[in-house]
Amino acid sequence: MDIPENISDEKIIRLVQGTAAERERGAACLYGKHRDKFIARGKKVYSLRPDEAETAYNDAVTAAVKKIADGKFERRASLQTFLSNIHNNECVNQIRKNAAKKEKPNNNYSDLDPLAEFLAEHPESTERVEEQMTAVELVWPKLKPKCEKMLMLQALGKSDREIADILGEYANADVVKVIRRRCRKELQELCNVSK
Amino acid sequence: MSQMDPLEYIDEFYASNPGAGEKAAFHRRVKEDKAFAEQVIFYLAARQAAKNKAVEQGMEATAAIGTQMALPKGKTIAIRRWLVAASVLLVVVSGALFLLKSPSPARMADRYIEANFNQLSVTMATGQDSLQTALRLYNEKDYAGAERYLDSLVSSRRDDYGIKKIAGIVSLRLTHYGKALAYFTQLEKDSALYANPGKFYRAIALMKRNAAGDEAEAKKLLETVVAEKREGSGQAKEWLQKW
Repeated sequence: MDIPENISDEKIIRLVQGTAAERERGAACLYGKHRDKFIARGKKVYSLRPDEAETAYNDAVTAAVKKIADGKFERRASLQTFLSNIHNNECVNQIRKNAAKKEKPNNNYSDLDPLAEFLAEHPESTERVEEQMTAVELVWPKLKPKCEKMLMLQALGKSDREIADILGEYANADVVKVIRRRCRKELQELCNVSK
Repeated sequence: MSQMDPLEYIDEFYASNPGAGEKAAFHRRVKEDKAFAEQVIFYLAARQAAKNKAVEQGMEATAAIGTQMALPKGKTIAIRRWLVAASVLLVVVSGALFLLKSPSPARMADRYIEANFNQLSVTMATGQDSLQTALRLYNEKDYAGAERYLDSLVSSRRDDYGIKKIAGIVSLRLTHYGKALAYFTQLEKDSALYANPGKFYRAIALMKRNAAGDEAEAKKLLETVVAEKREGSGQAKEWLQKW
């Protein structure tokens, strides 16, 4: 199916609210217009596997189309923002499904990593998080190797005690904590300088 | 604690396994204090970027076994050389073992089917009693029972792609590969469907059947799925790397 480039939100809404054939076409347009951005977001921000990121996006488009068709899209924001909020929920659901498979509790946020938990509470911050992640990625090569290692190990869920044991260069967890925090501050300053 | 550097406070918060009350107060502050929200966003974005870097560099396995990533200070050059040689040998042996143990396409298809087709959502059949019954039977592992309902649904509703997709999955479960391939081929031709998995599912059926020429055809299909960014392209790319 040919998807017109730069199709307007208004046109997509009209199609989705039209006949069954128009609705399919509207859904296809909505799907194609934001696909690359949102699938990349699922992988980058939520650490989803490629197939999971696709599923989350497909489910988000399906839910968005249903809401638009039912007249539940109130036009207070753009279609992209509307889809983004639904997509966030679908990504969080996907993470919960993964956690449930590992038989972890899923009745609260304890099965989510800190970022997913934060975005479940503050979905409006997703774009900003993505921007900051891009800024961090740009300056990351300027970090000292010891900072890289510490920040990566912490991001993998290691405690300061474990980081001290793994790296074997630091006397104890307190030393790691001080250096690790200094490293994060340096990273923030590098990001501010590169703005 | 509010006098602390904001990043340190945020670090403390995430390291401390906070209770519900503390979490609520934290999120309230994010909503009310824009500068604080920006600090939290930076902290979490940096952490996620670091996680992605760690995964890219394969650090997860190293961290999991607690391997020393830096050589201890004060060791002699000879020991360092020996350690480097041993590491290189380990990488070569691990690589060879990995290559030898790469799962076959049929095994990769099995894993995908188990992970993704174990249960089918009944919500997709709202208001359609016989389809709901077929899905219920499928989820109870009564694939033959589900097939009976689906055969009649497929002939009465020829244009319903959703039924063809489910019927194909049921046929796949029953190892009726020819039938599954026919359903997925029909599904593939549905040009109105915006996320059409037909080609990807056809590749899975071929990988699973594993008759002469099936692997090569499945590979071609997966390459097309990736090139055209079709439904399943992420998984297809991953498989092709292991092929």
